[in-house]
Order: sequence, then C-alpha cells, then structure tokens
Amino acid sequence: MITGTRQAHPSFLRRLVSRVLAIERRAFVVPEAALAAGRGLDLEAAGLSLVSTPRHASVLVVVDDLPPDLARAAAVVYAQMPRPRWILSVGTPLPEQLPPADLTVDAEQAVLAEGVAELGRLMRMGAFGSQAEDFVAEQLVTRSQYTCPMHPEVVQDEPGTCPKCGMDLVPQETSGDSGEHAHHHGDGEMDHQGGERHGHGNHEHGGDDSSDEHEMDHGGGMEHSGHEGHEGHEGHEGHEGHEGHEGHEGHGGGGFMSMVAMTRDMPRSPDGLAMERFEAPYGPLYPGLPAGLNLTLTLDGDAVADSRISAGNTRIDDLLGLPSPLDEFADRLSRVDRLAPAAYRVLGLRAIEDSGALDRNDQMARHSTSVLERQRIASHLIWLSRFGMLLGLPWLGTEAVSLAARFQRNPGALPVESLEDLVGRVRRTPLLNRRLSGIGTLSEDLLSHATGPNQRAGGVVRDSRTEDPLLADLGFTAASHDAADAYGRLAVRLDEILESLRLVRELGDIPAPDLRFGSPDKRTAQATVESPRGTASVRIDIEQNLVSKVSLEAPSSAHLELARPAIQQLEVADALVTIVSLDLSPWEIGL
Amino acid sequence: MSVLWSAIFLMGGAYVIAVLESWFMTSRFRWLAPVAGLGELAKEPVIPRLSDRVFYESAPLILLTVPLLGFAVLPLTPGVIVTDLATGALFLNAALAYVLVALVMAGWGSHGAYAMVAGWRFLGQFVGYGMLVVMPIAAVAMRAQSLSTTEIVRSQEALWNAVFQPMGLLVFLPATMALGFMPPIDLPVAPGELAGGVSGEYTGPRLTIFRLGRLVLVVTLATAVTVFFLGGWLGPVLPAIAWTSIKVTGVVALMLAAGRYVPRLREEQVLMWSWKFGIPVALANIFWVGVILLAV
Repeated sequence: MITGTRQAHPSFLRRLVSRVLAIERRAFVVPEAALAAGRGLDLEAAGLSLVSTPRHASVLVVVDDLPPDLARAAAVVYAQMPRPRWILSVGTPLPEQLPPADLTVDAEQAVLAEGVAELGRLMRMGAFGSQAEDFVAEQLVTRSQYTCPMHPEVVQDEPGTCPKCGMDLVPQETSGDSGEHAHHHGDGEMDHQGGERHGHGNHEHGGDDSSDEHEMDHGGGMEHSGHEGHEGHEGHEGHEGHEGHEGHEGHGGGGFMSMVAMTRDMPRSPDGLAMERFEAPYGPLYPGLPAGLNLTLTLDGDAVADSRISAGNTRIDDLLGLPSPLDEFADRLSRVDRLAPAAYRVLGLRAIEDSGALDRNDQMARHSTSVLERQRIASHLIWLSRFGMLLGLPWLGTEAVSLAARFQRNPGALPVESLEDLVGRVRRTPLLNRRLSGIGTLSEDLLSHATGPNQRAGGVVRDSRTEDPLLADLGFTAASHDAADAYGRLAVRLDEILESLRLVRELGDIPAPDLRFGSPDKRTAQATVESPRGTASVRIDIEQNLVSKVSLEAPSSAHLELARPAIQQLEVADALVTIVSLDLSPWEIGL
Repeated sequence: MSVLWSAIFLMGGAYVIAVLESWFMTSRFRWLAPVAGLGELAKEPVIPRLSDRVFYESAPLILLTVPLLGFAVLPLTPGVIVTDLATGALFLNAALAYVLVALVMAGWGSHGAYAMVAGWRFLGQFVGYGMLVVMPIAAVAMRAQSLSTTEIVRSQEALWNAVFQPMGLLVFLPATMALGFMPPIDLPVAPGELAGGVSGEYTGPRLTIFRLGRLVLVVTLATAVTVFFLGGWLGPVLPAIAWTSIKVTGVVALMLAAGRYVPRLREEQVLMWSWKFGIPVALANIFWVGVILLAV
C-alpha cells in the first residue's frame, strides 16, 4: 500500500473523493485479460472495469506469472499509473520488479469477486496517507551525461568543454539499465511514455494537488529536466524530431528556407513525399495485442513504413525442464503456450503414444479430440474478444471473453445457445465486411507458409483433422473462405467455433481416461495436432525412458514471419487489425 | 434566469449522456457511472516529460469552453437562451471549429506517439466533416431567412427541417458525431488502437475536465441537431422544455446506438464518405432548399 498511496493528509474532502474513486475499480491487466479468461476468470463480472492505458487505471491486476521481460514492462506500467494505485495479484507470485501486492487472491471466480470488493475497501481507506514511499522502475531512470557534438567519444558526467576541440558539451540522456538508452524503450509498454517520469514520492509536496508542478522544476538527480535537442535518441518521440532539421537553416544563410533543402535528408514515402518518421512501439503489454508480442511500427504519417515484430526469448529446454519423465511430459508441454495449454497437452500425449509408451484406445482418442475442440472454441472466443475491442465493438470484447471464462470454468455445461447467438450477432454486425475486407491480404506465396485458419481463409484447406478417422465418422468438414484477408480469417474462425461445438456435442461427455505409461518402443517419436492456430508438431528423442530432446514446430512462428510483409504501408489501425487477425501466440514463438 | 436554466439543462444532459454512454458501452446500466468518473479527481495529475506545457494545459480547458460557447446560442424554449445572437448559427460554427484546435493541441502537447497520431487523425476527420456541419446549417438558415437560432426553430413551425430537407439531416447527424468523436467515428480516441488517443496521457483533474468537455460537446451537438432539424422546442401538449429534452435524448441515444453496433470505420472510409458522398449530398440539399424557396 505504501508505494501506491498518495502523499497527502487524508482530509474530509480527500476521503470523500477516494470513496468515489472506489466505485469504479479501473484496472489495467498484465500480462493480459485473455490469460485470466483461459483460467476461467471473468474480471469484468468480478467488478473490475478494464482500461486500455495505465494512465487511466487505479489497479494493476496481475493474472499470471511474468517472465523477466514482461516483469520489467509491468514495472513500467505500474510507474505510469497515477497514484493512488493498487496491485491485485490473482493467484500468482509477483516478480521482484514490482512492489508487493496490496491484495492477493486465489484464481477462482468467487474468491476474485470477494477480493475485488475488499479492494474497494482498501481504495476507500488508503488512497491518501501521510507516509508514501517512492517506487522507481529501473528502466525509467534516466541520467544526463554530457558529450561533444563533434567528438561523440567524449562523454562525461559533468558539463564542461571538449578537451579535443574546446566546444561546449551538450547534454544527452542515458537510461539506468546498462546504458542502452535506445533499448530500454523496447521494454516498456506504452514506450512513448518510457522516458517520462511522473512526480513520485520524495519530490512530492505534501498535501496539495500540485505534485505535477515540480515535475519540470526537478531537474537534478536521476531525473532529467527535458532537453529538446537530442530527441533523435529516442525514436518514439519522433514528433519532436523536427528539432533536428533546424540545423539546415544554417546552410540557407538565414534567409528564405527552401522546401527542397529542408526535406533533403528525410526519408521518402512510396508516394514521393518527404515526411517525418517516428516509431510507435506497441507491446509487450499493449492491451490490444497478445501479451509478449513486441511490435514497433515506424510510421510515416500514419502509414507503416517499417516494422519490427518479435516475441519470445525462452528456450524450450528450460521451459520443459528436460530431460523429462514420460508421464510428466504432456503436462510440461502444456505450459508452453498459455493461450492453448490443452492443445499442447494433447500434442504431448500423442507423441508419447507414438513412442509406444502409451496404448492407444478409443476412449483416449475421443477424449483428446473433445479436449482439442473445446480448446479451439475457447481460443477463438478469446481471439474474438481481442478483435472486438480493437474494432471498437466493446460488447463483443466483453461478451466473448466472459463466455470463454464461463466455458473454461465449467467444461461440463456447453453454452450452446450463447455461442450460437454470439456468432450470429457478429455475422450480422453492419459494415464489418467493409471494415475488414482487403485488409492484411496474404499473397499466394505467403499463404503457402501459413497454416490453420489463416491459411484456410484463403481457400487452401490443409487441416490435419481431415485425416482423422474419428472425425471423418462425425462428418467433419474443415471451414474455409475465399479471401485471405482479415474478414476471411474472421469468417473461418466463426465457422470453426460452430463446427467444433457440433463435434463436442456429438462426442458427448467422455470421462478422462486413465493413463498407464509403459516403456517406449522407439527412440524418437513424433505427433501432430491441429491446434487452434494451425498445425503444431513435435518430435521427441527418448533416452532411458526420459524425453531428452524436443523440437517443436508451432504455427505462430510461421505467422510471425507473415505479419511484417502483410502490414507494410498500411494505416496504423489496419496494421493492428492485420496482426491481431493472424492470432499470434507469443508464447509458442522463438522456442 | 436563462443562464441558470441553460446550466441546469447542460448538467442534466451531461449526466444523462454519461449514464447512457456507459450503458451502451458496457451493457450495464449504472446510475452512478457519471459520479464514479469524478473519482478521477483523487488521482495524481501527471505531466508527461518533455510535453509542450502550454498546449498540454490549455487543451482540456479549450475543449470545455468551446461547447459552452456554442451552447450559449442554442434556444431551449422560446425564452431560454443565454444569448440570442442575430448570427447565432454562424457563431456556433465558429465555436465548434476550436474543437479541432483543442484536440490537435492535446495530441501534440502530450508528447506521445499514440496521442500525436490521434490528434492528426482528428485534423483529417475535422476538415472533412466540418464542411458537412457548415453546409446543412447554411441550408437551414436559408429557409429561416435568418442566422438567429430562435428564428430557425420558428421557421419549422409548419414542417420540421428533418422532413423539409432530409438530405441535410442525413449529412449533419454523422458530421456532428465526427465532430464529437463519438464511435464509430472516434478515430482520435480509438480505444484498442491508440490506448486512449488524445486523452491517453491526461490524468486527474485534467482528465476530468477533458471528459466533462466532451460530454458538454455532445450535449451541444445533440441540441444543435434538435434546433436545426427537429424543430427545437416545438411540439404539442407537453411544455417546450420537455420537448427539447426528449428530442436531445433521442438524438444522443441514436448516436450511441450507432456507436455500439457499428465497428469503428477505417480512416480511409471516414474521409471517403465525407468528400465523395457527404459534400455532394450537402450541395444538393442547398440546391433543393433554394429551388423550393424560389418556387413555393
């Protein structure tokens, strides 16, 4: 509570206004709300209102454990939230980068709802306090150094003159983490805010609302007072970038400045216009994108001139804890992709089956098929929710995620009517076709590298499920569409939700089979499943009844490569629609 | 008295809109939603580093002042109008133009990539739709033979402008939505795309003013639609103020319903519709009104 309290005497008026603040618990969720839904939690039903920027949030909700890079980004998010602010941890320990949670609750819907009510009480009581401590996110700390404009190798902590040429040194900024001042912005969600600090703690005046006032006054110490001249160092602050071009006026001799001279060194767009370029970083905790996805758009006006996109930096061996006993392998593999754990578990079981250590039987096949199709429904629903938020359809965002949570919480009861209703409503949404058609179209060439719904949207039906005799008996047909654009991908996923629902209903309730592990016949085994994102396959090496080596081929890795060419020269909104429509899962990338 | 009544109407309108908006956006009806928004006052007012301080500070204030000025020339009943300017319709246009200034200043001043993109987006949107606000008002004034807003309402005694010049309403309604950056034409705030857009960096009292300014703007725009096209206070049986309130609420509900059920339009489509469809229709409307006035 200490680092979130706002330092001020809790007067009557302040207590009143904090009561009002507690009515609506505006929350920013890390890593992302979808992961909570995957664990059966409906955050909005529990009484949180989700917001899309930390600036408008009062509560940081941590719903899953954070790998180191996301933990650093979460610390930035927390620092960006204006005080008073709280941290709610939902069934997960907090990383060291964040201050301790104000409230920790178990990952169960009922407990969460109680916790949110308790959080409201904390908000009413603890918004203002006479003791408040500072929270410093390491990545945000900047310090000033001084360098010579002519000799960049001259860098010192004090202002002065250059020993080589005698010019006055100019200030530049470096960040706290290892001096890679360009890099630290990549860690921050909302990186354009990455460099800024708001008035925390020790430089906050007691008891008034003017804590912002000294923001600019406070030039010393760790905080940087705002030089305008070196914006180029921070790619994201591109709109200040024009400062750099003022230098040209010198060449012009002070008179009329020709447009040609002024734009001489600027990059050209395909239409020949010279425009300022600047970087807009999205991720890794941008609420519209899957958590863990790092997307940096270099914008030329509002069109994407260039982009960098990356995800994942975990090694699969560490993630799985190899070598792994055969009976634990499937469970460990299921932890790889947090957005489709059940699909990976089935993949692991099938690989063990292939090795001969597990007997195939009908019940197992039926059970794993049912699990897989359920996972597909849940995964598509979560995707639909993300897509709806991005498209400005908040009802879709809320309802799809809530349905996914309900579905995960209670796998026995199939919400058939709600699902059919939701799909129907999406299909009937006016202008959706116009909004999405022709956006992010994959060319024939790119399409051959895609898999799953992204590929089937273009009419190329390659679905490993079509070879499954069990599904053939159930009359399975793979959904497809005739346009490899965002609309096609939406249409295919909607069809798949209904088809999977039908399959799950036909299969009926199948009790989980007992798994009896024997010894494997083979040294290497492989398996393939049609995961919600496409064909995933695994090859395992077995030594002395232990899985010693795993190589995984995950659909998102292929799709990540398609994203960059697909968003080139698109407008920002269309670029985001394209990326989200590809349904990347950052967890299965880069393993 | 007029000032007092107008202030009460404005505050009531802002409250109703906040309730309706939260209802349409979250599917939950909450009487307290507008009050909860005031909790933001407890939050720390953050100034982004390297922000343009003058722009950053003044943008929310301008956004609040401009619709207040615009509202001052709109009649609620025959007597209740803050100031019945002879050039009221023109004044309203002039005032609304500064919404653009406020948003571009907020976007630039925040010193953030998302906010800036959002601010420039609004520039493009406004240049297109500002025309579609002016042109239907011109046609409305032609019929009333006056720029006074009270005269404009009186001119509709026989027939509302919504019926007399439906093409005008057809372009004026979306244009006011674009001006008030309401979904689906909410490019400058675009939740999901730009993380709050122009208002994304504001916190605490400044954010409260920004949100209040937007609510007042929506009240002003909805009242303008009522005054110019729906016959303002005119109506049988009920008192004048009741008719104004009902019509304004109806207009707002229509706008919000569009926001709920229609996905956000692409920037390209927003601009295409204004220039390729809106402008010709607005011109045709002026021509139509002119012909009718000359012929009848």
